Amino acid sequence: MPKGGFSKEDFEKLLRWLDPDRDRAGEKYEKIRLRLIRIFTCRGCANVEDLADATINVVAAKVDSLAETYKGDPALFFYGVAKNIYHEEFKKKPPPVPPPPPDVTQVEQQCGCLEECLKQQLPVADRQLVLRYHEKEKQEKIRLRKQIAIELGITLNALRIRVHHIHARLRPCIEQCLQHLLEQ
Amino acid sequence: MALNENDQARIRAYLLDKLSDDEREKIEERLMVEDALFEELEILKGELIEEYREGELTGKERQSFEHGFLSSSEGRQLQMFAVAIDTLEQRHQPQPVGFLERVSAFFRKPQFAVPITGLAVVLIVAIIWVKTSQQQTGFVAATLTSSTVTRSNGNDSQSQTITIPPDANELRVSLALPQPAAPGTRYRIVLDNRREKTTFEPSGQDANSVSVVIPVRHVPAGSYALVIYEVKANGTEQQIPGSYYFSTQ
Repeated sequence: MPKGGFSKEDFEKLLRWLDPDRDRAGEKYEKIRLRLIRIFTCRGCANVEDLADATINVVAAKVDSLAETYKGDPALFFYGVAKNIYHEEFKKKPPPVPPPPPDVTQVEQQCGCLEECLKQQLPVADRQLVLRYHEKEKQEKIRLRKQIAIELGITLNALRIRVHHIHARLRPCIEQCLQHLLEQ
Repeated sequence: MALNENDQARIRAYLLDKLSDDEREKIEERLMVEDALFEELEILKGELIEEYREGELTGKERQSFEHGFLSSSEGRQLQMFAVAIDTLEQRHQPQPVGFLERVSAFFRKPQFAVPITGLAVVLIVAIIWVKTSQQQTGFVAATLTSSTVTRSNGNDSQSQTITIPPDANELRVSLALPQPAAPGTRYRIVLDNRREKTTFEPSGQDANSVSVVIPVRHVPAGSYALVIYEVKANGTEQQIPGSYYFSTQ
């Protein structure tokens, strides 16, 4: 449930509007929230989670009338509200000054816990695939990835998606490890 | 809905802030409802970070990316993740391996399992056949010393005479090296009959000598010189000083 704004009852109504099946409604809700966060991120906003929650709050406040009158994919209504929230936010203050790039030297020097993540989170085949996928640069990299796709008998796009899913499994552990390194 | 290359280009342009307001809104609407397009956004973010880190973005793209996606918390996290993956990849880079190991690794791939078994059988049969043939081959052996060595020994008789029996098929020559060789040194041997030069691969070698097998048809009665070239790792060659003179009768 997003921060502030509406009651548990309103939240239940919002979920019912998204889908009569509560599990599917929950999935749709998470999907919409994540996409709002990504869109605010790509528009250069800083407090993206707050903006996504503010969007959901506005929609939840209108859910009774929406349930009766709105036709179409609810995700698009959320997007319409998000655009307004963005413009209001933009009027209030200019986009934030970008922070300096992260210091990566520590990561490059101490990666014991990264190795652990690799071993703990991935079976050997996925581990080898992700490391091989990131070998080489530029044209050689493209050639290597085409070669890997051929070896696996999948398209290059299917390979990109497979590696993306491996990244998704690896990311929480690696981010925790990086956080630990940067705090030291 | 399946994606096409144009969709990928659009998402890329979206992340690099290259779209007009209208185009951006259209893409964002689709991102809200199309799972495949949203997944493409997630993948392309990582790929653009790769391109950014490898210096493949233009100056303008780089600036847009730095001020846009990379400046976000998500962008910074993904950038750190990319650094972590690169670090791991570099630590797992295999050490440079020799030619034989690369060939061996190539044939260890599963798709070669059945053909390799077949090849192994053929190879064993071939080895047995060659061994059997060799037993039937007559040969004459000789050890030759380089002209530089014979000169330094005060031995003026630089040319050794080798008698080749009528039933011999091969002349097996062992060439004494003037200096001990480093392990793994490669050689090429040239036979000069004063009219033409013929190259032979060594049949064996150790620290002090290189051997070569010359079919007797190349050495009818006459005078010859053998020259050894050292083949360097970069492909260049250097002649080992001196020649190995001999005559046949």
